[in-house]
Amino acid sequence: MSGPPNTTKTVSRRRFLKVGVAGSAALALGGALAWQTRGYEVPAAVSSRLRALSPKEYLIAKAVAARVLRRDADDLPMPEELHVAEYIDGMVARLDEANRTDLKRLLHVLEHVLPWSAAKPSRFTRLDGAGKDAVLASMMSSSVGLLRGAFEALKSLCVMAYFRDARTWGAIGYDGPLLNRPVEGWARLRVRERR
Amino acid sequence: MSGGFRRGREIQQDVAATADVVICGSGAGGSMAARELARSGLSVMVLEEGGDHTARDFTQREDEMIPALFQEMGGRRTEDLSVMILSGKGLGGSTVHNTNLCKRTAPEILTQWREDHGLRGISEQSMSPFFQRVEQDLGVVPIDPIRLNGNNQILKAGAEHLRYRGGMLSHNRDERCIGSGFCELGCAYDGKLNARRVLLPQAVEAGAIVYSDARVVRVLHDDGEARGVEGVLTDANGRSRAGIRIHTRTVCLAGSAIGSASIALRSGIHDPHSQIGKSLRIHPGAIISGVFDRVVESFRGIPQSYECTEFLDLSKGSNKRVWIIPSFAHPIGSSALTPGFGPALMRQMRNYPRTAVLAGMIHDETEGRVYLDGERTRIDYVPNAQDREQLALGARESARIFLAAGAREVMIPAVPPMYVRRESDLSQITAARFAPNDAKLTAVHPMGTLRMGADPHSSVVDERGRHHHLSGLYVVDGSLFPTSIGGPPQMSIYAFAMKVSGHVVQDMRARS
Ligand SMILES: Cc1cc2nc3c(=O)[nH]c(=O)nc-3n(C[C@H](O)[C@H](O)[C@H](O)COP(=O)(O)OP(=O)(O)OC[C@H]3O[C@@H](n4cnc5c(N)ncnc54)[C@H](O)[C@@H]3O)c2cc1C
Ligand code: SF4
Repeated sequence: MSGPPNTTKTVSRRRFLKVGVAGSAALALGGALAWQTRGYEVPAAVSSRLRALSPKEYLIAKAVAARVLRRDADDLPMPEELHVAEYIDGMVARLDEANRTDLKRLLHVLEHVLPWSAAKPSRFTRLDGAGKDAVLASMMSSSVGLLRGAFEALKSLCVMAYFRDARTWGAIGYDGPLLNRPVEGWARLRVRERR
Repeated sequence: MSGGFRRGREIQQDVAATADVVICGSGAGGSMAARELARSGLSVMVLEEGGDHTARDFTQREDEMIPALFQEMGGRRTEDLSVMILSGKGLGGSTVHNTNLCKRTAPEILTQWREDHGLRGISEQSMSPFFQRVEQDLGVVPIDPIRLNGNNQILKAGAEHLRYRGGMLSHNRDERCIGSGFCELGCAYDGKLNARRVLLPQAVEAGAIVYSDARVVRVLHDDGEARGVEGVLTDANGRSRAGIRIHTRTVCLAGSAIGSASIALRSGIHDPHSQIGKSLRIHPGAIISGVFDRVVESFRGIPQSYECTEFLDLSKGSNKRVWIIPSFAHPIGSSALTPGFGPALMRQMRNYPRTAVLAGMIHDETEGRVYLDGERTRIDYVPNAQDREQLALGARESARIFLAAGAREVMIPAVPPMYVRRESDLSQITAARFAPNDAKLTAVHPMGTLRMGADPHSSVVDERGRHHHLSGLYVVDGSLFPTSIGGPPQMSIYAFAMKVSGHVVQDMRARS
């Protein structure tokens, strides 16, 4: 039995992305035709390795990761040291086409549209650290549920790319896979149930 | 027919074949059906869209195992992005990475199915022989209390302090389990008596041919009768390499509640009452973490061994529908569920070894829906008001249990996060905080979507698992359930798959 209809504002993923893409298109029409790529140069050595993201998308992802994964103390590595944005590119390459397209669109919406709704009228990548944090925070606590969900999706990619690396584990008290190291006392307990 | 495992990724050319039965998906339901049907002398082919991963492939690394073992690389979400739904992909399906808890379908649930859905032959008594066989086959035993890890000890201590009902659970692991704690990433020690280790080899021994990397696109049918299945063989990343077409007059859907509904929808099966894909249940759960002053190291040992059932009453109309169990994750999963970003996130992550996590999983009444948008499968699921009350109840009582066990601080990931340091803070945990994309919800038990029932106006298959309108089409996975079951589903799925397999054999004999 279902309860009364849910009155919370929900927007479908597709509708949100359509709105976002329309917003980007409006920006494109309003600015120079070349806005999409100008100012998004990455070294050839990096761009030649990208599998799914364009150089522009790579730079947006890198800027997001730098803020999401900003450390509180220097016993944790910097995201750049771990090549987090390159790893995100690899993950996006493995997504099915529909999810890959959605994610890439989201990066463009974040770059061109969301700063405006957070009262930061600039491209996301051009904001200073505090400005970027303000945009991400407004996304994270947006009244539009879907934007909060989109933030979580981006954050999931970032933390996957970061906490996969053994160099992050010591600082958070995790000792990593048990394989290839001696089995310690705690793990020696075997199932003793009588069958 | 001589059986075997075949890897789609190693096959270059299109495959065309004939079989008595084709099973689409190889999880709990598909593997059980494969074994039962092969043992009854039928020629059986299993097509599984994921890869074949066994103990030596499991690296205990989240970044490698989550994308390999979970649908949509672990990122499957409802359409509004508010609930993460985890389910498996690969030979053995979700049983490869599940946490091995075993419980029979509660008698109250079977009674509801009989009384409300016209499943006259289903009762505790009639299902008991199936459960007995499943438990024997999969080595189900109570978990020895010595195996309680830090996280489970905290749940037990808190529940006992509050005099809440609770107890040890049963599982299907054997002596190879060393308590490594990596269950959700596959068992590198082969300690799980799951579908891949137990049932699929038995199916192959009995003659079944089991393809991995073989995605079923649609069921072929004509004149109200199943004629076969059509699909693709893929590379390791799921990209199509060749076609596969199997001629058969009997097809069993076993792609789980989301996968099976998608296949049925793509196949254009006669569905006059638009029932396919409806009634999705998922047991959504809110995650609650407690930080302690002492080291807990919840990531070590068997992840789930104790349950609190104080707020779980499965009788009809009950307003206690919460199952509280531990739910710890490794660093990637934990950080994704920890609120905030930047230094605030990193500071929280430093509590990792001192943190315990509980999930208040609900026996849900909300009916979600699986549907197609072009070729893409989409999922709608928005908890209704009563279920949001239950989510709040689960979070509140989990927080209370943590406080009783001595937690320094309890946190419920939400926007903004809810922090509890004393009893008086519990009152902030209300249903209003469980609006979509507010509190983080996770679900690991998709069910329903092709449900059993006597009335074709409100169900997809009958009590025998047989499609109401398409002869030769059966459902043998969690899609069968008419309602949520309020507990770990694998035993129920194994048992119902065994039952339906018996009917398939009877029907085929009658037909020939
Ligand atoms: C993290 C986690 C922990 C869990 N812990 C427990 C537990 O402790 N106890 C418990 O009882 N349950 C647990 N479960 C749930 C349990 O494992 C599932 O309910 C059960 O395995 C579902 O069985 P199924 O046959 O319906 O589907 P699955 O086991 O999910 O199998 C479906 C299979 O079909 C395949 N498939 C889908 N579409 C297609 C297609 N088009 N073509 C070919 N193949 C396809 C999928 O790749 C998959 O391998 C857990 C689940 C998760 C995710
Ligand atoms: S806890 Fe046991 S069953 Fe789980 S992964 Fe470790 S050894 Fe395997």
